[in-house]
Amino acid sequence: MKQGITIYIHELIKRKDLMKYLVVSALKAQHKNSFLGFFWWLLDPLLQIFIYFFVVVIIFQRAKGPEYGIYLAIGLIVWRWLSSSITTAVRSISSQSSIITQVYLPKATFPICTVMSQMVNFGFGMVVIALCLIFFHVKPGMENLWLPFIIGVQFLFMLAISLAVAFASIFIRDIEMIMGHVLRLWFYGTPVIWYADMIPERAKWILSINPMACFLSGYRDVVIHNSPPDYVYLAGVACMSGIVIFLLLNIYHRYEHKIIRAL
Amino acid sequence: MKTDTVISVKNLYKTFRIPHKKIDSMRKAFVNGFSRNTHEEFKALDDVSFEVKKGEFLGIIGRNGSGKSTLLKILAGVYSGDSGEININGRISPFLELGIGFNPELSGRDNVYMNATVLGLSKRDIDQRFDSIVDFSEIKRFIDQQVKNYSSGMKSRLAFSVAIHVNRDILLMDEVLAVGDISFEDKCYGVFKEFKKTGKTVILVTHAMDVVDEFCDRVLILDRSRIVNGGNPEQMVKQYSQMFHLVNS
Repeated sequence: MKQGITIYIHELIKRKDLMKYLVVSALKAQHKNSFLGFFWWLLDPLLQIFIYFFVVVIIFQRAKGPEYGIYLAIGLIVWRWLSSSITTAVRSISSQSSIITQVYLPKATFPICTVMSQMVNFGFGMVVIALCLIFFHVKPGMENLWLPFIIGVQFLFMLAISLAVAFASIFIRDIEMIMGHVLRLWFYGTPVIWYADMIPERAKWILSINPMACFLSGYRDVVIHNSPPDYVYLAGVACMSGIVIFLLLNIYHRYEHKIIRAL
Repeated sequence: MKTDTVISVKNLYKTFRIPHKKIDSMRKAFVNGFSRNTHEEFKALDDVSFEVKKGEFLGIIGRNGSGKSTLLKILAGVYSGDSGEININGRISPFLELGIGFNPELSGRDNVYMNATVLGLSKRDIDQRFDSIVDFSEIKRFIDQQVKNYSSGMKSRLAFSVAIHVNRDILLMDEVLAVGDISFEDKCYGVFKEFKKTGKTVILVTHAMDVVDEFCDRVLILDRSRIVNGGNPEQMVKQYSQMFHLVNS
């Protein structure tokens, strides 16, 4: 007799084609009816960057031109991956209730798929960053090879959070409402639109407990300064996320049928 | 379990707890914190036992709320039973309802792939069967249009076509017949005959007594969560309609 969790992971792997279609159809349906269609994948992050650039550089006059432009682009696009993953993951299971009340599917499939489809969006965001780099004549360096590692760690980290919020929100619907505010607080508490060295010394701990701050400085070190990221911290986050994902899959496995009843 | 038995269910019980107030938010949990949450128990399945042999076409009839769908959902693995033993020998295609996972924003083609992967096919399987699925559904011209522009008949035809192409040993069907005009219905019956010929095991939940009479080898009557009787279709349909008249008068 195999152990429960291995069966569960096997069940998930068996459905890799399903996951692929869930991801693809979520992406296809996203911009199907707009005039600009798939162009929005690039336009959306670009507009967001322009707005924050306008507020910080022109109105607040707290930063200057090109350097901040790239800094902001990386910050916002990396952040979008997190915020959009979590906001869609919260509803990912309950929004598929028409499927899972008819067919048995491992429920962890859906939060996993949301993180993956948002990763595709993130890919388009990377194109926007690349455009910014070309526009401001920043030359790519060898340290860019760290990028897959940072992306991978961030993926694991977000997968852990998404699995957790998707599961919890089935039993406590308020989590959906709370998450919006948590994300906003997290956004302003993370150096996305401000420089990390602006923060007073006594509040520095906020950055060290925040993996997003580490991811962001990692991306920026690698892309802008061509220097290696804090890989020890990143490896730590990866291990922690791995453990949490494993525990959560155990919980999913144990409460599969409870989820259906709570929908 | 004998070798030619593909499904055996022994003493299956399932009770749903229906809370009088559903606690799904923190405010409600807080307000209700000290009062006991009352709920009603509803027995959906009460000591249900039966066996299905390989290649058998089993019909399950019964009034609404008698537990038919719950039984199929437990066999499909959507719900778990409270107690009892279920042994299934073979791969189940659970097309309980048609068109699971259809997304109206996407094209018919995309939806075929989506729906079929939900039912457990791999991409390669679908690639192989795609033309046959489209041919059967009779909507070749519209396959690349968005499904939201389909008529309900077209949607169901496409869904039914996907469902019968899943090609598993055991098929669970919950009221899947009322999908098209007469010529399409004939086609569906043709599929049923094909199923019978190829030795597939089918469990069919339906209210269409003529279908039960024509195709089923054996019929179970479910009433108030229990199996009241089982036997040959003709007798069972007769008994069922008598029961129904007794209740109505």
